[in-house]
Amino acid sequence: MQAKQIAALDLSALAAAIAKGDVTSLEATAVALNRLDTIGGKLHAVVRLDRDRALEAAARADKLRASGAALPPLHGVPLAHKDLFYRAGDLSGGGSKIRADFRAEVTSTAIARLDAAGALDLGRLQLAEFAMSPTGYNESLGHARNPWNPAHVPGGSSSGSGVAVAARLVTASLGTDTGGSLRHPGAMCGLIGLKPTWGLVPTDGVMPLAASLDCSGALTRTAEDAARILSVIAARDYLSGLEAGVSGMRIAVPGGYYRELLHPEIASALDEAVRTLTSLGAAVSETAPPDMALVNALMQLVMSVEAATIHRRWLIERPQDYADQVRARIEPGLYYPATRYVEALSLRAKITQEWIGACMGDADLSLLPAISIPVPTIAATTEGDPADVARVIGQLTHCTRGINYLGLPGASVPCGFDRAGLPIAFQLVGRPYAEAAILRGTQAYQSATDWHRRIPAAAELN
Amino acid sequence: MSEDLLRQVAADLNQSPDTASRTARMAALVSDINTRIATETLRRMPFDSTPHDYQAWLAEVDKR
Repeated sequence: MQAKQIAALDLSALAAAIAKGDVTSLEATAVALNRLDTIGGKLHAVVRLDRDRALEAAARADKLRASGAALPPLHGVPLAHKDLFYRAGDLSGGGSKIRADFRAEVTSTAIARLDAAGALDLGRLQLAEFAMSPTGYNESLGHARNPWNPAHVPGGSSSGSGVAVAARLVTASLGTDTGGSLRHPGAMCGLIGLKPTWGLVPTDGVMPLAASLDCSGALTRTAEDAARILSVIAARDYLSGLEAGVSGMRIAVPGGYYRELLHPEIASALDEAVRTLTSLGAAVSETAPPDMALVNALMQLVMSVEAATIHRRWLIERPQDYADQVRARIEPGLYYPATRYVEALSLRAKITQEWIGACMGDADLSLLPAISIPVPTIAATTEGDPADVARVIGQLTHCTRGINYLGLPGASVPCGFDRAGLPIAFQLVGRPYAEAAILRGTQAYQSATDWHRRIPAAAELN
Repeated sequence: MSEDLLRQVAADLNQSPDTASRTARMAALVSDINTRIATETLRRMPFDSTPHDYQAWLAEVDKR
């Protein structure tokens, strides 16, 4: 198989090809390393690759296959992950100057589970500084570039993960989501970014941002790939029932707050997605969200207090080593009384149940915008009047950040392109542990559409 | 909420004078969020509440 053909395979197809012997792990790994080096370099998506270790692991994988041994589900598949996931002995910078020399003493459980499933770990990918930006903003290491148009942001904070999967450098990549950091690059790069229920996937050995909100998950091109990865990192089965379709499934579409900022092009794509799901047999109803200003305030308080707690030493000793935009999001956490923080945590179950009641009612899933506006340019999120920049950044998280306080599972699902050629996505949100329903809905939608099959020119496969 | 009070919270209670020097730009946000949650909590939070309720609810939901 030619390098371009290998690069075009999605995770499920590549795993099957390696298992069958149509592609060796060594071939797949060499292709991925080469593309990460060249295309990944151009798009500023890569932090660090361990070429020798990866090639040795690939050779071992091919030897094991040749021996006739039983193979694990991701045997020999090359992957790379957001530079927040620790591997014992390796650098793990968290997109920051401050942790540039930090070497992890432990390996994250999510990485260890991928190891046990046979996946190969090629290295670490770019992200926003300390995972603190919905655009991927990284002043010190450089902003990653959107493969659909390098003048635009790729979404963050798992920016390099989004870029690498969309540009066909790797087939899947682990990221994290504290206020939308899997769903933003998913939406802006044309991918599924699945944020699991809070606590479903272990976050030990992953650099924290706000422990009560942080979720580990993956960016992939298809629902099947997302189910395959989640089955490994959550140690539960998400492949069974994936093909069951949406006939009889009830999907709620909340209005009010969730339509407030909606750009006409995004609204039109979302309406078309709803029509597609309806044609597949889903029953769609309209609902009305509760007071989202309160939900967002609770999220902001928990996030900033928890982040400020772990960053306080560096805010005192190395304040100059933060980008101002990043420090400005952490520091408010130093000002709230402890009673507010405990109140915010104590209200969480009640507020979440209220949101489910209002936004979902008796539905199985809720369909929201992923981001309300077209993917902005890097300039629009870094230059000019700080108030304008702050407004754009706030708009990007309008429909995502509250979901983290609620702890609910949610996924970005690509559903079109805007006039500038940048992806548009909706977001499917479910009750706690409804990942299987989200994946089933996504799989049904992808079986009727081809948005996820389109390839950006930057991938150099066309 | 007094900006001086917030400055003291950053400088004295959190020992972060550099943060304290930037208090002005955060004061409105902090005041708004604090007031909103403080007010809503008085109205909504039962006495028998703990910060562990959410995890307990998730565990219960996961068993179903």
